[in-house]
Amino acid sequence: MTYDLLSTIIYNLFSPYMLGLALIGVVLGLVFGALPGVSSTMALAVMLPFTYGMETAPAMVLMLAVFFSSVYAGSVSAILLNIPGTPGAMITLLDGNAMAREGKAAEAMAYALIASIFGGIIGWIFLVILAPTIATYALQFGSPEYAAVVLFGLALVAYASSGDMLRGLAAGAMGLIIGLVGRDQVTDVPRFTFGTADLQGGIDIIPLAIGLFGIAEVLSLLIRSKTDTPAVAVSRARTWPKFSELLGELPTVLRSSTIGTFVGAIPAAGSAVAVALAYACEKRLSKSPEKFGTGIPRGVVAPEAANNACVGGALIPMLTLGIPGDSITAVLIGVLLLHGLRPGPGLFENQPDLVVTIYGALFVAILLTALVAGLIGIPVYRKILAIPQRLLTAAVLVLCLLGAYAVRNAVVDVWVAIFFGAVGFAFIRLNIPVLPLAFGAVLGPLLEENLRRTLIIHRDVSVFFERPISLVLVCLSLAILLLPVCIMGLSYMRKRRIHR
Amino acid sequence: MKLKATLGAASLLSTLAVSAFAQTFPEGPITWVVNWPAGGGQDTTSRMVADHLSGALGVPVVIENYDGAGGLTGMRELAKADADGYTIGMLGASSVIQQYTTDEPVMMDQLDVLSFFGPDPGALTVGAGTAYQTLDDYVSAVKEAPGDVPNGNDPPGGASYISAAIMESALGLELNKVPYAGYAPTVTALLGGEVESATVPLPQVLEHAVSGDVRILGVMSGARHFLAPDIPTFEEQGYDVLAGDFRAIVAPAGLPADVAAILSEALIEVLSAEEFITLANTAGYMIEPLGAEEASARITAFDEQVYPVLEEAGLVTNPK
Amino acid sequence: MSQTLNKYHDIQTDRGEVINDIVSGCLCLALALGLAGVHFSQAGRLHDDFARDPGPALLPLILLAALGLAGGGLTLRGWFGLKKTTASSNQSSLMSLWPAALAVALMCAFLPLRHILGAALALCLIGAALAVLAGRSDNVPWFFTAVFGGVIGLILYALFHFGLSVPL
Repeated sequence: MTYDLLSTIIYNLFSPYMLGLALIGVVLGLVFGALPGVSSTMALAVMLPFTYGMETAPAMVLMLAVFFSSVYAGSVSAILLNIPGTPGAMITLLDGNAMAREGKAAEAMAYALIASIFGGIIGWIFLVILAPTIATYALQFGSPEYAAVVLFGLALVAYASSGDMLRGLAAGAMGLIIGLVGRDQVTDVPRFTFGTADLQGGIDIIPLAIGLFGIAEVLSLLIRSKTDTPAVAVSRARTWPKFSELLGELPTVLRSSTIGTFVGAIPAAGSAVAVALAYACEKRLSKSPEKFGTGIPRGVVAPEAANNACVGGALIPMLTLGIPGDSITAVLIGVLLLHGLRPGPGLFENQPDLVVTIYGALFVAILLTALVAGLIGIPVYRKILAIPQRLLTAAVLVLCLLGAYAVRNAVVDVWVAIFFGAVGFAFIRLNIPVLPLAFGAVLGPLLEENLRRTLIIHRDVSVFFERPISLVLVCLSLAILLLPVCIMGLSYMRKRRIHR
Repeated sequence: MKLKATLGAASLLSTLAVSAFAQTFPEGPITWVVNWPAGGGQDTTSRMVADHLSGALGVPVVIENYDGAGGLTGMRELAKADADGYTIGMLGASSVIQQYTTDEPVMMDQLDVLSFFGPDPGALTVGAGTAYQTLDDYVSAVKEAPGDVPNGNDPPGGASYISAAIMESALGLELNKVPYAGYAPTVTALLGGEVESATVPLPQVLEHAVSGDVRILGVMSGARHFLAPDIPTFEEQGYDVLAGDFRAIVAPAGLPADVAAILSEALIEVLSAEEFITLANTAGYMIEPLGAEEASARITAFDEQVYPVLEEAGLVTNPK
Repeated sequence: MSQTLNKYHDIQTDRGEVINDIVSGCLCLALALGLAGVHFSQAGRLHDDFARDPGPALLPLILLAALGLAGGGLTLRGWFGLKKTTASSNQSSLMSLWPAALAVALMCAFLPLRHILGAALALCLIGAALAVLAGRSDNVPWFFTAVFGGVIGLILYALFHFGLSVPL
């Protein structure tokens, strides 16, 4: 890579045309991403036809701008309305929406933005410096390792979700059963479809989350009388946190971003695993884990940094191996294919200029997202809270209906959202934790599929203890799951001794 | 005389009416149903054709993605739409297979075929770390250890699973068919050495073959693949295996004949255009523009080929 | 960990939580039994032998057992809790949940209404009704609330239909 080539590319990236395209992409991403049910994939697919007539570089600039900004904007509806637009935002809403209910919505969005930007940049640095190394590591991740990491994630979620253990177990079992609905990934046999073809594709996680978090929350607000405090107070509180407070979150950002990048680089792992790992890791390391879920910035920073670091991570297998890590990078590969470029192992040698352009485009997207979201986005999003409560309630419920439908344009998803809205409401009334159900539904199918595939390939489970990565992860998971039981048993015995 | 004139005028009027209808056929936007989510091969090819078809017909062609139930949701949406030509869509091998493997399927007689888009032949690829240098090596090795060679493919009923099953039954092999959710995880598993071979279409593994990470042993089509003209077909190597996915453009059954003709002609025109073929080929898609009848024949042939394979694999829940 | 234990204590002494235990325990048991019925009566390949693969029928079995155990545990704990606690007078009645039930009913009306009136009108009506429901105790004329709610429904419809070309 000569200096001349590099400077030409950078000069091109900062030309008014490119910056204008990136700006359009960022604004569209911030609008689309904030709508629940509108995934980054959908935002990119809507933009796809516009890239047909463009050169490769501007096309990638536009797409990456939409990509990155829509991933950040997913946190907005989670914080403001308690509706997760993506599985990655399911954790953000725990503390984010709790902050918003204390009147610190703008501050929560600012924390989310700052964490997203730093997460994005750290993911980007990993991408630029370590892409081939991480790709090699990602390839070593076979079915046993994958099953082990999902088991670890489930153990961490069990650990991270607060509340009564029996109820958590019930909710987790329900979530895992929800994950069974539809055709089995290994044998194609339908399970719990009740004879309808609509459920054969399974229960999509977004309508489920929209119901469980969004609709349920609004329903429990509806039954309150007027004298209660408003759900989300509009306050004149500050938006930007103090520098010293931000500095305190730096280790969290670094840890979560690293987790996000590596999990993002494993093809098909997805951001749900990344945010669960990051959140649980922070909770484990925190001196006051009981504060998580009550509206602390760290509960927003950890998942958002991980979620956005996933963007850089997901580009690693795409650029080095030509393998899309998720549906979003699949669209990006589609763009490259339409321009006659076939990403793969040869891309770095044959098309170094394109690789550098993609690096640059992602960096420009991150910077512009910071600028636009910080200066215009947050103040505008904040205005949503100025809408009177009665209208906001109506808007959120209508948005839940539309968002659930828009995910797959499937009517059944609307019923799924409404049904799980009622379920989530019942959970709130009965004081059952919701998180084990949501994550059981996300992680259950991944665990089963990889576990059974491991058995099909290796015949028996001893393989988990023969491979180093899976051995470590399985032992850690068992430790996390069994430790509380042991502690409880010990304290029970001690109590009995005292009683005697 | 007068009567004759009236009759003549009437018949003239009726022909006029018909041709007037035909000429005015696409009066508004046409909806194009894609039965897979945005970003996949079905979606990309659909968007390319829709974009050009819109130019040929002079009306917007709007893509609608229906995801779910392994593509069945979209097919049902298409089959139940009005048969007026304003709703068309794309169909692949999986929709033909689903007729026999799912509850409440969309049968092929619920759809009218408009044109063929092209085949997407399967290929047999092995990891560079394996001992198989040629197709002969592979076949004899699998025969020696039946059920032990892990092959990466779709879950049962998917295109690359069917390719593997067709190869098994044609050559008397028994593989350990390991299911992965789509082509990307399959290729990852092949590169990581978790499976020794894979039956995904050639474009998915081409770059890895160029870089030497995998070896493509043969293509399961009648002719060599345009992207890799140096890789021989199964037939050339003495094995009679023809398998793979395909794409065709369909509409709900009962389309008025003239509307079907207009759409079919427009599609052939689009698919045969030099510019379109270049675009599709650079993106890795094989184009074979065939009219309604030939396309129907192709689909029927596939249907007849795949049914016994499904039956043998015990996948048929909805027998013919 | 101590937090879980504290919570455990609260659950044992609070009458409301005891009722919650019994209700959720019974629901879990009923769900587990019902689904087990569905699972075992399913025909087809579900219960076949899949050689190396443990098969699609195993995990549902384990999970239903787990759900049943959790349900049984909750019911038992609630049963013992009933003896330890006394009924408190300020139990909220089920009737106070009517706004939530009405909102769910309104949302359920969306799909049938969409068939009859089209999505735009359906969303407009549902938006208006939900706004009136949410603002039932506000000091604003219900008519204005309804109009604004309807307009919001229409705006969101337009956003998804035209902005994102969602086939509504």
